[in-house]
Amino acid sequence: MSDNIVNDRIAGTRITVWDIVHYLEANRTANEIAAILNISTEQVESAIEFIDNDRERIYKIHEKIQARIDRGNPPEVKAKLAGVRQRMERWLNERNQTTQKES
Amino acid sequence: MIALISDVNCEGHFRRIISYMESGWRSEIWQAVNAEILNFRDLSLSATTEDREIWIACQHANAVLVTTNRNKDGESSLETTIRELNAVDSLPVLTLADADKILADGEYAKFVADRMLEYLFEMDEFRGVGRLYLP
Repeated sequence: MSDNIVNDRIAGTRITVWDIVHYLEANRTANEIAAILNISTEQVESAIEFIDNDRERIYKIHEKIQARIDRGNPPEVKAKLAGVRQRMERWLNERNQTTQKES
Repeated sequence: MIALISDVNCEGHFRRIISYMESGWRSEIWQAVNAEILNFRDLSLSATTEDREIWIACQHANAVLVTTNRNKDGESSLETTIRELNAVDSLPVLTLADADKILADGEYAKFVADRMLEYLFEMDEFRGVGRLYLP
């Protein structure tokens, strides 16, 4: 079954075993994961078998990926985003006021 | 015009976020942003194309890639590609921090839609940053 996994991806797709781990961590069943990722249940089961057979390596990389995601956006991006949010809200308010005046 | 394109591993999530951006007060901003929705076929990409080729195609098409991108580092990985090719005017990649939660929790999905609208509203502010996380 694990022949369906090539270079840590489900063969013929861009779906990695770490995509599968993410949904397993969320307690999704193989059927649910298959539906979400638009692949067959057999492909998901192959990935699960592959993960079980190489668990230490795969979870080590999973933790690295998750740590990167958990760090999120750097402070300068968060600051920029706060500025954009203010301008967007101002734009929306001005637009709504103009619409109310016109009606 | 800016474009948005979903990676093949998060098409359902992408459609859900778009549906929130198209409804209620968000629709006014969404219409003003006027983003074109593309798919892999539009850029001659396939379900097996490597990250590096996708990133380059998106830059040429002025398209912002939305992805979950849970991948190991490698010579053609997105991390390496951004590290090597990202320039001050490159479009960022939007990464869904918790793909499962977008499907499981509507309020969270709306929060992601809000954040995506903020990025799109002034996308030029975020050129060159490489990767942005949603939310």
